[in-house]
Amino acid sequence: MQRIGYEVLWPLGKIMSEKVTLAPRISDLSGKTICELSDYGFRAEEIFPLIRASLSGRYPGIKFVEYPTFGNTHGPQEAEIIATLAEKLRQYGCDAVISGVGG
Amino acid sequence: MTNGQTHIRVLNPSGSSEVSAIPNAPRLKDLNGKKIGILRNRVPVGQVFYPYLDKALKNRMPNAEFRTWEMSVLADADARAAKLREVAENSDAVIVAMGMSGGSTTRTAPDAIKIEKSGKPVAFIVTKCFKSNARFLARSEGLEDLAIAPLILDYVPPAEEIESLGIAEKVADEVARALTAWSPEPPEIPAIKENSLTFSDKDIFMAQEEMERFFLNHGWSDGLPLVPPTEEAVARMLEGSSLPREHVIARFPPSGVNATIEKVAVNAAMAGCLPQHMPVILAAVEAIVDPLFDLIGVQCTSGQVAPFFVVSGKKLIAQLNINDSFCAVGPGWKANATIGRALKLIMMNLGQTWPGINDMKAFGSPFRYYSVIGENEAAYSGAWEPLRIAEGFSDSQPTISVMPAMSWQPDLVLPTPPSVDRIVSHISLQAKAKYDRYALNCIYNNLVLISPTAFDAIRREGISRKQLQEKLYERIQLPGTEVFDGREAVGFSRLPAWVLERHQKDPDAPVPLLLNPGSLKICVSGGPGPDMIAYMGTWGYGPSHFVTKPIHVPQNWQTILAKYGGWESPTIR
Repeated sequence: MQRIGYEVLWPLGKIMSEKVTLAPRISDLSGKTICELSDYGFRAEEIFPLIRASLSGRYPGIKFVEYPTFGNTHGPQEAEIIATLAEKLRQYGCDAVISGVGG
Repeated sequence: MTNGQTHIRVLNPSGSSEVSAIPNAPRLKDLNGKKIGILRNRVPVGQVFYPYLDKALKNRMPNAEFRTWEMSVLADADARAAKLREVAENSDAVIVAMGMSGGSTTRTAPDAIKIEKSGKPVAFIVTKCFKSNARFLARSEGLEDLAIAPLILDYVPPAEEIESLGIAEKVADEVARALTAWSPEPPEIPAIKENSLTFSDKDIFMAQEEMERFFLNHGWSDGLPLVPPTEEAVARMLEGSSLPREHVIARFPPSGVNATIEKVAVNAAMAGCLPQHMPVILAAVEAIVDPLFDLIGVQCTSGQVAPFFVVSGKKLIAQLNINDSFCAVGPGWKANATIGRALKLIMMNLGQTWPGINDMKAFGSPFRYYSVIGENEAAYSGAWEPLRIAEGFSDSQPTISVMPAMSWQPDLVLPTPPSVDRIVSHISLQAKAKYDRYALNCIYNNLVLISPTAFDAIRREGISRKQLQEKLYERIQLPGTEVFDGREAVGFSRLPAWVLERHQKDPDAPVPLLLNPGSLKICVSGGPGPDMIAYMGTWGYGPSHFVTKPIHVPQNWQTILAKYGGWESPTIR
């Protein structure tokens, strides 16, 4: 029996985002400034304080810039907040960021 | 291949009714001195239109003697038959009024058909776009045709337009024509009687395209590409049933075509099903043709209703790879997509329903394309019995349930994790939002889909299915003054007598919108994550109920699974 074959075209597209290397991790969070970013959802108001308390117990001198400082990163002013975010993080001397909560 | 042409021979997915054609009643020579019966239903627009119609009929036929009877669209079969006999026996000709929606036409046309079959000429009044629906129903009941006296519009306009456009006078002219000078006409879509058809072209793809074009032109397609139902493809599908191919499952509404195992297999093959899907499809067909589901109403109504199916049975769901987790309602799973599609093709091809001809949904529904989910039994973690047990089947018996889904509203329940009280409040708000005051749809079976995470909140508080149903029954209530606000509604007759009696004594007393706690069906499905709940509102113009049927697999089940397996979508379970 003759086998029939046919070529087809690839239905997907190419990923166009540029590859970016991950920022280097911090070996010790002691004394570092951690900025919080939040979408104000999924119990952020409960979860961020728990994280703050836990990390403060583990890393002496750790400081937090709390998420209300930056506003809701997933709210009506999202575009405006994201546009000025890099500058704000520099302004607060940010060493690392916690962003959440995905739910 | 012959003469440079490739041929594909496929089986006819439709069928023909076994009912023999009955000629229409002879028309009258004239209407002078004749007794004209008027049988009318109580559609809401009738209150506006009927007085104009009565006046126009008397002006148009001044020497005729008119007598009027009323019939509720909800009248039971015995009362209906007795009244039809009375009307026919006391009339030389009958005017049946009126169809102004898919539902009212479908419920009222059978009265006209029965009287015409009894030998009395009938004129059936409908708004313009429902003519074809009424004529189709007549042919499916074996009558050659039905004489229609249509309005010039697709709807009954306000009183001033009835007058200014002379609508009642034009209907009276059409009535006189229908009772005297009318003769039957051929159907809009002629039936194809051949059981197999051959399509040819230069290669297999072009021949298939010819087939698809033909199928679409004849109303045998849902518009998506079809798998050619060749004899070989159908034979493979039949391996999934232990019943003979000529076995008749039911006379399929509204066409009256015999739904045989073979015809089901043809449509399943067209939908892209696998042979192991056949037991689920056959059980689902039994569910939708159960009179409790009211398939004729679901098929022909103007309401946006579609059957929605839930498969319950952990082992079978795993064997068939039916999605019960992330995106269970679609898309991406062969079993969910093709079983659901097969059932809609069966409804179209064996029911012979076509949009705008006798499927009169104003918008239609996405559930007409994709509407099969699996029950996520693992999420119960033993806290609840699965749906099949709640519906009276054994744990080892897989089932499929169907509900007439009119709408659905998936929502996140906040705050998280929600309490049972918050979940009850959330569902009751959704239920009240989906409440149709005129039809009182809540009285029938509605379905609540609960995501595994939302179910965890229920499990945490140790609430059983029955307890949750009872809590919901108590909360899904409205003040009597809101339900009974002075306007008429067909749904009032569906309320339990005690509710009506209590309302007479205490107009403020709350009215439960559910018939009883168990009438609200609950099922866990979908993926984990946020606490999601979807209230699926039913169609209220039935009666159309939640129906569950057992799924029976054939003896050679393991062989079939091994032979036709391997169709799995990528996922993380």
